[in-house]
Amino acid sequence: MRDALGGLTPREYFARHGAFSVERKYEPPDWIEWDDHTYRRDAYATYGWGCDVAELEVDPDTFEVKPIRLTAVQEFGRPIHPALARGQIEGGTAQGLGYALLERVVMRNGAMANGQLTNYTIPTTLDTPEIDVVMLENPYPGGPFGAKGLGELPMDGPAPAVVNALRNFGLDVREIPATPEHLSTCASL
Amino acid sequence: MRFTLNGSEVDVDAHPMSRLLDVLRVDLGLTGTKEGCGEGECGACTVLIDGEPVCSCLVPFSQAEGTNVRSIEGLGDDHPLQRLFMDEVGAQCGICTPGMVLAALSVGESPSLSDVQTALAGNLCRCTGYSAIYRAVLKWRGVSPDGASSI
Amino acid sequence: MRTAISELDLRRARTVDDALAMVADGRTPVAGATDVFVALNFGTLRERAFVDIWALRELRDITATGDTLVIGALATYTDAIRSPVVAGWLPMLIEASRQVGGPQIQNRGTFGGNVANASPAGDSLPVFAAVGATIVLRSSNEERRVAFNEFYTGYRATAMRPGELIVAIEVPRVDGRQWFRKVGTRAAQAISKVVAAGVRGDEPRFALGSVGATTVRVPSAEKALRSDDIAGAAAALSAGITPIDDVRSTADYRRRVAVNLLRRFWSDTAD
Repeated sequence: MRDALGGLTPREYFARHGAFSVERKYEPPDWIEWDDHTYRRDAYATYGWGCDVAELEVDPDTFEVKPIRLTAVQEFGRPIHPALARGQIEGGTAQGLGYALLERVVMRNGAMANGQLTNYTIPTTLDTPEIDVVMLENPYPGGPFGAKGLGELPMDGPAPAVVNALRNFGLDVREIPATPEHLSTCASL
Repeated sequence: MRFTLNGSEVDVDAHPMSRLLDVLRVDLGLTGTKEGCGEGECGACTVLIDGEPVCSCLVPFSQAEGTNVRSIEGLGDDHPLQRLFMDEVGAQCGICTPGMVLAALSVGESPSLSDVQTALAGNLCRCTGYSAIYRAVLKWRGVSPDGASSI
Repeated sequence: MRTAISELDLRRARTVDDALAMVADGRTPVAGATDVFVALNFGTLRERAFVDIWALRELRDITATGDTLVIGALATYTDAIRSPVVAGWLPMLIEASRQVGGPQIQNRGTFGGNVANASPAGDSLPVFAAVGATIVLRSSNEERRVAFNEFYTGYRATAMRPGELIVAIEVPRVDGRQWFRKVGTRAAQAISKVVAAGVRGDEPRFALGSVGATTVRVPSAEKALRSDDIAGAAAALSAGITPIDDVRSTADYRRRVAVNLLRRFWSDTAD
């Protein structure tokens, strides 16, 4: 980038010349064959991979679940911007946690009855534990700079991990959010 | 009605039952303070009144008289905590950030992770999972994030 | 759709007598506004004329005089949390205060407001119920006291008369170990699904919120506790509360948890 900016830092360049913009369009490599008209061949040339671990405590009096630690291992080719990638993983993991334990949608007559921040309960700081993030690098030759996608991946694993933890604990959890009310009526495994 | 805003005396003519949030955003054009919910639930509207964080969507303008109000604009452009929020990517969409930063100013010396979580329990963030925010606040208070333990 | 501000009238009281005159005139008191302004924001505010009592410093003190802890009606949750007097006398009020909303709400919400708002889910209310607190009411004519367990007459209904303002909550010396537990929809910024406070002394007391139209104590359960009959107390408690299904929780869950909390209170406070 320094070459493109004539040896200047971005700040110096901007001060001197104003904005600098480059446009590139991602072109999939020719070894990926996908026909957008007939919907045939390789719809998904590759996959992102995740492994999520949830450590929880369950209160025997109230069935409240307290997450102790979440670990998210994600392989998405290559983090181009590690800080942003980490932020996406942490944020998506927290959302997955809310999905698993707190975020119940109550419908009445076809409309959402709890559509306010008071009664649609997303995790607060006290509901969100430490999240350990491991980003595995496995550059994907078909992606820009070796990257795959990361937008959705972090949200996929946490809820199953939480449910599996609760099932491992001995409760036959079959729905999310696994609210205390639900847990209090679950059969034992 | 007179009060001190970000260190300067101001005199605003607004209905006493106006929300302080609206006086800031509309009457004074200071749109840094955000409305996230209008019910004191999300903390995006947090300002400091006499040093204490409050939800400005729940403060009648009448009660600001004679007080010392600080909005996010009052932090200037180069507060160390703002820098750390940038460095740690403590802001993604940014809607919680003004309230989050002001609430974080109340975190004391040598905080534990739990202290930070408690101070920010009234500020909702949907984007970050709070982790980067903890890193920024802990570093601001001179604690290495690895050195801080949870409860 | 927010209530139109132009329809509202707010006047600030300079003294308590000032405030009482305005309350007698039909004005609704506003203190920390953490309930009133939520209603305003959601357009459910029915009142139109208000008196701002926030600045009445004399109603904010927390003091111990002889055998009584006097909590000014305008004392906030944060005031209680920081009060060495409360820490010594009524530590479970600090526990309750720490679990109200978050710091921003704790800095503004008042005990007078919590009592006057009369929600069955009020977090400080079981504490006051369990210690047999007294509500001090003042009007332009008189000051009177109402025992906490006589203060609520029904769902969101109080024994307050027109023209009255809550000025203080008086708490006697607490004889016994204190215990508090709130079960909310999440760990902060939560309305309680079940909230309980207990005192274990010679005359055990156990008060609950969110399991009926008002904060409740179940005398038959407390009687059973006096003879250490926890099974009897649990059965009496279960029969004596009237929880409902609502958007936050279910009657069955609340009943079950209330009983569990009673048992936990008893085991936690044992010698």
